[in-house]
This record gives sequence, structure tokens and C-alpha cells, in this order.
Amino acid sequence: MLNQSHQPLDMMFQALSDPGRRNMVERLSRGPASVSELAQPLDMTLSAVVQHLAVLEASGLVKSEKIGRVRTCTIQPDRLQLAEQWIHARRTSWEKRLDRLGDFLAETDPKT
Amino acid sequence: MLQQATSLDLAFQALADPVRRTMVERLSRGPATVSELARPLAMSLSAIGQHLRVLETSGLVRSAKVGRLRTCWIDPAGLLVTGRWIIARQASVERDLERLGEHLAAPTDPWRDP
Repeated sequence: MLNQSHQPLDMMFQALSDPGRRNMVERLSRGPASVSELAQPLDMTLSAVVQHLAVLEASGLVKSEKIGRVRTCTIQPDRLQLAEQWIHARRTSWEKRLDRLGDFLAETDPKT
Repeated sequence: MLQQATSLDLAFQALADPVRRTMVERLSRGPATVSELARPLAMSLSAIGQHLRVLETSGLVRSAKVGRLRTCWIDPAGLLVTGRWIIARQASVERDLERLGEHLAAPTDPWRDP
């Protein structure tokens, strides 16, 4: 059960656990950007950004392509959705439980 | 801002492990004792205890000892903050795609200065 099917989520949540990488995802969610455009607001060296980019690409959240001399990075919305779906499913399950508890309390209300 | 960054760091870090995700999955269906969490995972209580500490530090899970049993439950705030972060990014991607769509749909004026 704890096998490869878990790997994409492992890598995605790991990738999102770093503030620098979250900033890069935040920037890319507003549109594609080159590596130097990603580095600029982050006050990071190009080589640090490239390292973070490698982690983001391995997780599938970001893709990059070299066109001429410029490497352009784009976000992969379907992967973001995978991470969101996992969290959403846990919240739904928790909320359902609360609803059941609410129903139980309403049924056993001594005033009714 | 910085504090939220740290809590997001810890929450995403905690969710990056399949054992801890299984524990969160179990707890989202209701509170459980440490041994109830350990059973389906076929892991030692001490290993589960270690994962539990990571989950508690991240704010995703809380636990309390009642008598001899430690009961764990989910803290919805942790799931809320991580979920919101991702949803905000998705909304931003959608806005960007809409802008692109509008740009492509806009009629081009052949007489416009290049």
C-alpha cells in the first residue's frame, strides 16, 4: 500500500514545503517566466533558483523548456489539482463526520 | 507573513510522507488512539509516535493523554491553510489563462502601427 502510487504526492508536498519554491510557484501561477525572471524578486542566485527548479520539475509541478538561450518555466495546473484534491478529500471526510455529530446532537437534544 | 510561511513549510513537509498521510486520512474519519493508528500501518508504536510528533508540530494533528491512552484528532486549521494556498495558486492560473484567451480572441487591426 505504501508504494509508488504515493510518490507523486510525496514529491509534490516536499516541493511545496520550501518558501523559495512556493514563491516560484506563486510567480508561475501568474504566467510563464524565464529563470532570471524567477530569480529577480526572490533575491536568489541563478544557481539556487535552478536547484529549486529541478525539485519543482521532478515533482511535476513545473515544466521548463529552453528556447534559444532562454529557459522558460510554466506551471502544470493538473499537478496542483492532484495535491489540492488530496487535501480536499481529507477535509470533506472530516466535515462529514462533524455533520454526523451535529445530527446526533440534534436528535438527542433534550428540548425536542 | 513569516509565521504563516513557517507553518506552511511544516504542514507541507508533514504531508510529504506516505505514512503520515495515511495517519491524516485515518484521523479525518474520526479520532483514534496511537495503537489504532499503528495497526493498519504495521508499524511499531514508537515509529508512529515519531510521525505523530511531526504531525503535531505542523499543526495538522493534536493529541491528548486520557488515562493510559493517547487519543489523536485532526486540527482542521492545518488542512485549511495548505488547501487555501493551493486554491489561491489555481485561481491565479485560471485568471492567467482567461487573460490569454481574451488576448487571442481580440480582433487584430491590420492598420494598427506595429
